[in-house]
Amino acid sequence: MLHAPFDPVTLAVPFFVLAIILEIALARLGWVKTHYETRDTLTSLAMGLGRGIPGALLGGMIFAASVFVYQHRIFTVPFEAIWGWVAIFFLEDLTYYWFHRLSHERRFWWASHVNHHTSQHYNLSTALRQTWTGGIAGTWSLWLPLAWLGFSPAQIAIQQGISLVYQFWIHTEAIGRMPAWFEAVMNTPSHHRVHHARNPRYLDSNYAGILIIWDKLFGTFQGELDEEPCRYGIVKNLGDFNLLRVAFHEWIGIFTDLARARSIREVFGYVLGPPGWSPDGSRDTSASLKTKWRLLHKPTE
Amino acid sequence: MPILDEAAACRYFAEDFPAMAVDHIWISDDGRGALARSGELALVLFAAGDGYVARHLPWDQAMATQPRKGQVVIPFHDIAAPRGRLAFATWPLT
Repeated sequence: MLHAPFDPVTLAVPFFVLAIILEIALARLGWVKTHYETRDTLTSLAMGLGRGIPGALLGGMIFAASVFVYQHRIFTVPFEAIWGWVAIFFLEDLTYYWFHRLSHERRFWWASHVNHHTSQHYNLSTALRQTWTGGIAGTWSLWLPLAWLGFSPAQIAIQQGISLVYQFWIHTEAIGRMPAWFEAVMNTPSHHRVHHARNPRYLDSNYAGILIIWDKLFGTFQGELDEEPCRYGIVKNLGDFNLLRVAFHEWIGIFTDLARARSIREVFGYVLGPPGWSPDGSRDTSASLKTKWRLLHKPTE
Repeated sequence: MPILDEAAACRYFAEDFPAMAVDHIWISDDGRGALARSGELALVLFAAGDGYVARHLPWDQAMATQPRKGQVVIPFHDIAAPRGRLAFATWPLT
């Protein structure tokens, strides 16, 4: 099967809307801890709606690439087989982990992903603040090996949709901690709050989609600490809610830096280095911010 | 949005510029921004929605900004935050 018979994300849209309304209502009643700001929420919704435009423009090309790879597959995983769904659940989630890690740790892909982190709030609407430039960034190619292994493009698309729908509900401050067994295995609001935090201690952690086990396995897990409340946003927050700025500011930053690059090394650094990389180290990266934070908070002997 | 006082502004500056010592802080007239001097740098805190955004620039460059109708619009040459708006009737700060 090439075309997915249904799209989990489209099916979930009414749930997304109702859940956001419910979260706002509960916050107004003072029953849950969450903060909404009108312009911030509208920006998130507009980014979510606008995502469909580049999706429509590049979707065909991405689908064609998936079909091409699938035609050269080494196995065939039956669409109806339970074991196939179990396998793709883990493999897609592992792929997502590396996609997400790459999207934070290398500037070219960060330029596409950063908009999802630009809100200074953390609520269900933040989940909808999606990239407009993911197709151009090419991270979709990370899922092609699944087609090569024999998972149909339809099955991959459905599992990607399930992952995206799962990740919606974890964008909230309304839920504190889930039961310990759940926190140990699954990505949760608590884990993902840490991921969205700009506190130096929390930077570049918890890249998980559905299962938090990948972060624990690859050394990027950071638990939420009561003594360090999350502060949301990016290291250098945006100055306004201009949609074009939200969507493209890091891309413009890359091109501006490239225009003054003086060597191949600088070109590579500005494009493929970590966000914040600069030839003389005058800008901060996540690593340098963490180092400074550790020095400032080093226990005195 | 909570109005800034000196303690709150200090907290924000400490979060964004943890290694920079603040010599003096001025809270904007509307309490929705602040400016601090750290040596030869101006640390700027301005409102975006109900959050705050921080940037820094050379002190002299900040003071050279021309005020208009009680507003100072400080340029940062940063595509992510091209300018910060602060309400100061008296400018430059001394």
